Amino acid sequence: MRLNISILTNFINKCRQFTKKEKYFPYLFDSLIMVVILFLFIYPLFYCIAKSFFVNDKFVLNNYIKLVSDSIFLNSIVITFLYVLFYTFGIMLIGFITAFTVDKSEQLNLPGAKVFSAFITLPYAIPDVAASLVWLWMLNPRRGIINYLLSYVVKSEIGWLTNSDLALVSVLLVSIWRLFPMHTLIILAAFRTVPINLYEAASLDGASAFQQFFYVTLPHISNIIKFLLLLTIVWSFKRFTIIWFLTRGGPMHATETLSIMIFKEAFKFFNRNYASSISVILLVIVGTVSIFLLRHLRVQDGKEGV
Amino acid sequence: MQKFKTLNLYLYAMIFLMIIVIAFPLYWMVLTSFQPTTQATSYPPFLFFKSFSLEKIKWVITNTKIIKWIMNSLLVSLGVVFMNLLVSVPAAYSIAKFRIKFNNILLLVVLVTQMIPQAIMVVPLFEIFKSINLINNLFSVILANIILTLPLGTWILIGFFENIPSEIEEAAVIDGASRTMLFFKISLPLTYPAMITVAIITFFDAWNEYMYGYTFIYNQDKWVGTVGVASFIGQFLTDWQAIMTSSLLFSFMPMIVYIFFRKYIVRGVSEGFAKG
Repeated sequence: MRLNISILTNFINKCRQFTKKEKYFPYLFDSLIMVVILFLFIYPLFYCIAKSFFVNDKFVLNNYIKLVSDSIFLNSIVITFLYVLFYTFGIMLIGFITAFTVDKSEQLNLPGAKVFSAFITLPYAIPDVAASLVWLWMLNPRRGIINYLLSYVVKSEIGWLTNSDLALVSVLLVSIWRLFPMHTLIILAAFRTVPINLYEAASLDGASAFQQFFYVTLPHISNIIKFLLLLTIVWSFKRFTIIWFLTRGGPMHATETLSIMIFKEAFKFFNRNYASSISVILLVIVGTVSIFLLRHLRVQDGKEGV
Repeated sequence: MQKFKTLNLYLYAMIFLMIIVIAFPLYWMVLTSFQPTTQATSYPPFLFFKSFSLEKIKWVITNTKIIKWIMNSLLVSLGVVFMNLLVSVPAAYSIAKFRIKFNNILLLVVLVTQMIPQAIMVVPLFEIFKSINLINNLFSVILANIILTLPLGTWILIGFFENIPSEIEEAAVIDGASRTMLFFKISLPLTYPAMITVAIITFFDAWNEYMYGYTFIYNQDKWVGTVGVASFIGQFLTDWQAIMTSSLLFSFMPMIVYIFFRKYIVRGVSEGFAKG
């Protein structure tokens, strides 16, 4: 009997220790990330907001007053929204087309389908810098390969990145080229969540592949797609490197998004206070857009969809 | 059967088109790098290999610091991967397993972190690092990159920790495992694949990063690869072959990682998103 009692007390003690520790455990696990977020995110963010109110160490609103009448800044807002809009539309479209093609060619067991689906995500492995430089070389107006190939059709030199009407389009195309593989993978994964028997039922009813796509696949994956859309829009505000290398915001500010403008103000003209005030506006824009999208897209899947 | 034929035709056309669009820039980079200089820069250009040459690769390696820069990139990227896992694994475990109010707030903050453009962070981070003498030190780039890659990593890991059935943990508790043991002996080994996924995605992002590397480091020997490769535009203004060669050398590492670890990327992405 004594043995049994000692086991029992031992067990009770263990349980007590366990519950005692339990209370502090989550905070212990969270502590590292809290430190990182506090020092590398929240502190810099407040630093940036505070800085935007200063001119020559005096607390004033001058930076914001200057913003209202700065035509380059107003232009940047327009460019940012154009970029976000067309980038999102373009990359979602390409994502769907590529995912549909990969999915169907694997289903139909076309020769080389597996190799193709591995190959299609290749641009993901090319760093932004390398991708931009290759395109810069290919789009070179005088000696680039694209103008050379087009010279059989069009007689004049096309200034892909120097013509202010074309520059934004070129930048968008290169951005999409570099980044669409993620979308292909995600949309493809979404396709795979649709139960096979739904397709079987649809094809028994005589639905074509395209009809099946619109009436079976799309409704079934709408939640994932809405969520992807949200992320794409929010992330497209972040794009910097590709635009910076292709045009540096030019020609005539035609591709100067807010990110580019902040960087130029801060590290080319050394107006860091002014750059901070643009940062605050960008912060407000991104925040408003995210809240708006979260409200209206109604992604209903708890944690994953927050 | 007619229906299937149009579909097949469409698929073949799409596959052909996509292969051209995806592969051509890569092909052009390789072609420009590996030709003798006279051919690579001739106009009209040669569309195919006429002769093969390593002269430019040798020239770039011996006359610039490209290898040094790539090693710096490797150092920074591995540092970021290590720090990121160190921070995100416990946090993700906590958010997934302990349902307390604080963790909901933390999750929200992590997701907000994800949304903030880098351009907003670069000025304050620059001045903060300057005030603590971290400028011109690769460690500052590592620190700045952590906050960039942390949210996605944490988020992927949360999904994986949530997928561990609680029965396994309950059984371990009955067998007398402490909370610490539970984490190290049960949950952690089960998420190794997810950690590889996070490590690879982090590696790609850190390798890709330009803005912090450009602003925080001004000593040429400490440049990361992105900055080094970018400097070729200013330095060798029209020497496109040198620019392409350095881009190719710099892309080599992520390509290798991509080829060997592709399935982890696909898996992470699929399981992270398709669950919802």
